[in-house]
Amino acid sequence: MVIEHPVPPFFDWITIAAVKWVFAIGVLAVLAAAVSMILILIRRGPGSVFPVFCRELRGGLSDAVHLSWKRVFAIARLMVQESIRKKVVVVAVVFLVLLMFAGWFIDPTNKNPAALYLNFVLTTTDYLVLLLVLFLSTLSLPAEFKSKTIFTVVTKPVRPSEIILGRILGLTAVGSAILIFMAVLSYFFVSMSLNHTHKLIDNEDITHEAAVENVSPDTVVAHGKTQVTNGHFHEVEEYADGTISVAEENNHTHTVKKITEGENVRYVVGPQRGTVQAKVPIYGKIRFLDSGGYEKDAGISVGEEWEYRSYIGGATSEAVIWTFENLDPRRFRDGLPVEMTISVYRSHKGNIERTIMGALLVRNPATGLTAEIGSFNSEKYRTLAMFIPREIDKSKVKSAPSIVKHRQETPQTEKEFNYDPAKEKYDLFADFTDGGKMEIWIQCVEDGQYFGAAEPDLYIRTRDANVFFNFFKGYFGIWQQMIILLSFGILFSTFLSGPVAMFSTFGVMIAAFCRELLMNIAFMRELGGGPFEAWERLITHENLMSDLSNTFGTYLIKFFDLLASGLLCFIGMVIPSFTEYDIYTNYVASGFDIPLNTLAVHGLTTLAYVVPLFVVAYLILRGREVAK
Amino acid sequence: MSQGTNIPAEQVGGSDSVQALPDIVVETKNLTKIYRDFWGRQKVRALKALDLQIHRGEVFGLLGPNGSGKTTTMKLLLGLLFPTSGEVNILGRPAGDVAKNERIGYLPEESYLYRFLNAEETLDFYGRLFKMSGPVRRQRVSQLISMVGLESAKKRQLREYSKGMTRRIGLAQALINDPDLVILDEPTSGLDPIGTRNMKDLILRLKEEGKTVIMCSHLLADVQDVCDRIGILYQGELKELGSVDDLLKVGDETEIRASGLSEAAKERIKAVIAEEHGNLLFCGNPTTSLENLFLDIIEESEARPGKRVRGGGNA
Repeated sequence: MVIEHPVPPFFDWITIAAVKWVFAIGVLAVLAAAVSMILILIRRGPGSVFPVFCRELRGGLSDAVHLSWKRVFAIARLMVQESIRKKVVVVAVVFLVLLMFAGWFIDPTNKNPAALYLNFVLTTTDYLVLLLVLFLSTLSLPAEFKSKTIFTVVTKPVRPSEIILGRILGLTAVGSAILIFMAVLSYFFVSMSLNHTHKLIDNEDITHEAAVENVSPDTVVAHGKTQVTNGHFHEVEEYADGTISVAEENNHTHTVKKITEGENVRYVVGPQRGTVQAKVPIYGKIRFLDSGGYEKDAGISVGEEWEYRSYIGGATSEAVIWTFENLDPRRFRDGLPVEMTISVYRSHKGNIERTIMGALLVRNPATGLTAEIGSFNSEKYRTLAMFIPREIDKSKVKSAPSIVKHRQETPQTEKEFNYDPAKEKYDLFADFTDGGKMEIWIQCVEDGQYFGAAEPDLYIRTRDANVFFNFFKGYFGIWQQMIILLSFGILFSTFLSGPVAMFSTFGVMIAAFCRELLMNIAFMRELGGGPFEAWERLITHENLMSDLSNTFGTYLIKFFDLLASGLLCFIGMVIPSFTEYDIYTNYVASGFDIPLNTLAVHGLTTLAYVVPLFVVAYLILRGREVAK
Repeated sequence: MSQGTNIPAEQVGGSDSVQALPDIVVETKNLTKIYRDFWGRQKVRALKALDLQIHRGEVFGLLGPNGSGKTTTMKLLLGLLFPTSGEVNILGRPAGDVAKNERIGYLPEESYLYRFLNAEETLDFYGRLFKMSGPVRRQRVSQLISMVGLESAKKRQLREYSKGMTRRIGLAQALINDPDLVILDEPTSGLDPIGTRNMKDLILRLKEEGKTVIMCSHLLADVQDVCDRIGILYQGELKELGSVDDLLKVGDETEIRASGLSEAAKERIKAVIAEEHGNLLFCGNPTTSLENLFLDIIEESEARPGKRVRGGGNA
């Protein structure tokens, strides 16, 4: 699974995030006070600035103290009623129709159909729900101003804070209900779409070996393959002890029951297993070792634009090293189940289908004792599972070059650490970990080929979480985006007309999806300069790399770009990145359990956005005249 | 619209609603409102230095032609607009104080209500805004629906209501909290003659219950029927203020209407009248109609712009 923006551990993150948030709120408060004073100055004259400001401040505090949850819920209830009466359920119907026709377009023969289906339902839900709250949040309040219905509300003992909070809660309830409906529908859709079985007919699909007396239980007595369903089949083997194994294909397997009725034998293939998973991984810290034995943060660049993965060369001493901490032998009594998705880069052509061989080693970071656990054949985008046994045979143990921490240090020659020639078996935890710390190395064996990896590409698989629960956790990302967007929508609707508020919120949504690009442009990290320079290059057909001529026009363009980058920088800092919430879809579609840490960090981040948006919306509504 | 309007004060809203009512319910001092454009330039001076006091228990009518500032005054009283200068105090609190709304009922010119709700839901929603408990809210909703005669239509969404029905449910929402001060903007607009009669009866009943009513209307006969005092605004200035009876009194005319006089007295009066070739019906000051008074003031104001000496009508 690709994790481009890893979520930091909650307790490491919270302190810095809280300080940043308090600082941002402080700046916002100062700005709000300054704007208020300027407005009072314009409206009432210089003599009134201080008394009116103090009075308003007292009023604001009074609003905070006297906020009535009964009124808040009354307004939230009204929002729900409005949404229902205005046929918000249409969105759910649209989704249902989309699901009905989705089967036509989604390829069930895909190598990873679960990811395809899950990506589809989560992405569709995301866009539909965001569009729904975009309309609901931006049109409701301006419509009340236009129809003057708001007159009958603000002439009751209702505070602006209650109007805003009631709207946020009401629309959150509506959006959540729609989201839950879509989630349940999606779950059934994905389950039904992925559910399949195969035919397995005796003597037609299964070939029996000649009967031999006194065979060991693991002797294969029959083998064959299932018939094709959803574009794939499974290899099947029956052993002497009666067990039947079904090979994994398209990320799933099946159970097979053998039913003997007299002389007739029937094989019944059960439903698919393991298509949708919720793996709970333990990640290690990644680093690279170059051919000189130097430790580096990144490996070789093979020229790919996407620099997520770093590469190591084959048939060299280069290695990708993951360091795992706090490994507890009580948790892994039999050994470590490791899974990896190692990328392959071929520098010379051959059989493109052929896999590239690599080796997996474990190493004690303190003693340097190393064992080569085994080799594997890597294929791009394919996840491989390997098991590192608790007991490691002497033949696998070898010495390793110790890692040089800094380039200026001389690499040490090979040394043997703790190598006892008399010792026949080594224990994974006793010999290869140091206080729970262990390294796993990956090396490419084939000359001229490269292995690429990023930190999340290799992990120790601990257990599987509940798939159903994880599926619904996946919707938490959409839910958070929805709340942030509806808060923006409500904020804009306090001072803009409906259509303008809608377009502004739509702009926020687009900017939130493209925040990374915005920040890249703001900090001039994109080739071809800022927006004005880009226009200049478009019009004059200049390429991105060439320097613009030193004319007054170019200076002017650069100046405007500087202003634009300041504006973009501000927008980028104020607007959240919705792409960061894609991680939820990524987790679910890739079959990983969404960690509680991610939920906590993102949940609190969402709250950190909603609170100031609520306060700003309240201040605007309080400061504006309801009538004209 | 036949039942009473009051419910126990402690059943409505928070603690604010049971405070003692001041004698002066509404007070404006030098209240001025200037509308400005986006750039802050003065567009129109809608209200000029209005000084007004409305006392507890009176029915006060605010009159004026279109654009005279009466709606602006209403909105300033309700806190829907902010004054440019001057002060407004309602029930002893500034107009901007939300707590004042605990004891105010407001019927807007058009009944600006949620068209997707039905009558019951509408009143239930407004009842919730006053933090009324469930049983009290249900009782009050039922009572008000019965009062405005919408029992048969209480389950229909307001989008299906006629204008008269909308006015009636609008009135019901204004009375949901059993307010001490009722502000009615064009209360009889859109009502049929029976509805108008009922509305006027209701206003008088509110007065009997000791409530203060402020209303503005173009229908002068309605104002004349129910108001104790009126204020006439023209181009943002208060041109006339006083009791309806005093203002409509025609001072230089005599009207005599009598009964129970002795024959001798009658004879003497008759003789006098006979000398003048007339019939004796009433003896006293006649009154003009409010419509005449209103038109006279407007005419006079147009002829002599600026501050008008009040009480200088036909009296």
